[in-house]
Amino acid sequence: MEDWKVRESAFIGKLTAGATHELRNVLAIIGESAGLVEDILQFKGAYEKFSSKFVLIKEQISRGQAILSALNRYAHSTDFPIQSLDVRQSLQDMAVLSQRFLRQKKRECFLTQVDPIIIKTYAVKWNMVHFAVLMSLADDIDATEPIEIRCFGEDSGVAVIFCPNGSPRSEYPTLRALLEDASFRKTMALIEAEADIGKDVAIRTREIKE
Amino acid sequence: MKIRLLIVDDEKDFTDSLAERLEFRDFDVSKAYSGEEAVGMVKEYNYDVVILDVAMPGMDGVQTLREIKNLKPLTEVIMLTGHATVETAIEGMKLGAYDYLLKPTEIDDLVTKVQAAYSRKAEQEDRIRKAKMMRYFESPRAVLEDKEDP
Repeated sequence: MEDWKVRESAFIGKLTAGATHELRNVLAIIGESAGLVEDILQFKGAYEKFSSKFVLIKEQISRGQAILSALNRYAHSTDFPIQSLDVRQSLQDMAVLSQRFLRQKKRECFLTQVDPIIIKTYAVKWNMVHFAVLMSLADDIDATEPIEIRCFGEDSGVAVIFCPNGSPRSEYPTLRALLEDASFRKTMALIEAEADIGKDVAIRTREIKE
Repeated sequence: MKIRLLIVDDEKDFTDSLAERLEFRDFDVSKAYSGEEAVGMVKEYNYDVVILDVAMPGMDGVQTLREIKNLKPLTEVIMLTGHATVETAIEGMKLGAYDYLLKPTEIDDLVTKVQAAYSRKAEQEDRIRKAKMMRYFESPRAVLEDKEDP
């Protein structure tokens, strides 16, 4: 029996992965058609009038492509309950997929010093935990400074450090509420993760031994 | 002489626009909308470079690549892939594909890759030609023994 027929997250993941693949083809067709019109106009010497629009189309296609690629990889994290997770790629995807939510909160995040690490873990849950921590932290800080995200390997796993560059409004009340939530604690326990809150917030995850 | 290209992709609108853009850049371009159609065309005609989509219904990119390499080992193949199918593209490179590009691709990147692929094919053909010349020089009877290349 295929896993997606019996497991909800795998089902949603399968549909999302398929849809992102199709949408990528849509973007490819729009991109090539716009590119062809651009070629024709360049050939006829009328390109200057439209050049800024072509730049815009290309930028938006790149933006759409980045979102779809991130969503596609997130969708594939549902393929198996436990799987090898490319941590750097997952954090890059989180940064892309969180943009809209952070923008609504007038916040932003960026990655620095992210080691290339692959760990075996509950991939969906790992992604969900880090996404939830980022969103909660965004509620607790000033809007003026972005959240820097760093990541490095540890003996038996990985540490992801969220560093708010501004001063916290208080002692991270939203984040603390999240970490005290029973369901969230259960998820953290399952992926063998621990939170360490100082000025920065560290989430340490141990690799799952099957 | 123009570089002879074959674009293989089941997305007809994508293939048609890309073909026209490459014609603007002075390539001799043919199109196939399935792996089966591409294999039939490769049997009939010598292409320098094939641009091949990985994910196609029916004969997929990897199967098509195998057939093309079996028929015309010197024809270079560039795989076009989405992120989810990068592993397939890497498998394709193990089977002799020249390289792969993520879709949608920048036309300038594609043109650069096609030209590099063509250069490799031309170098290989040149080496084979020189080896044959040496052979003919050492043994003129070899001219009679050699068949035309497919």
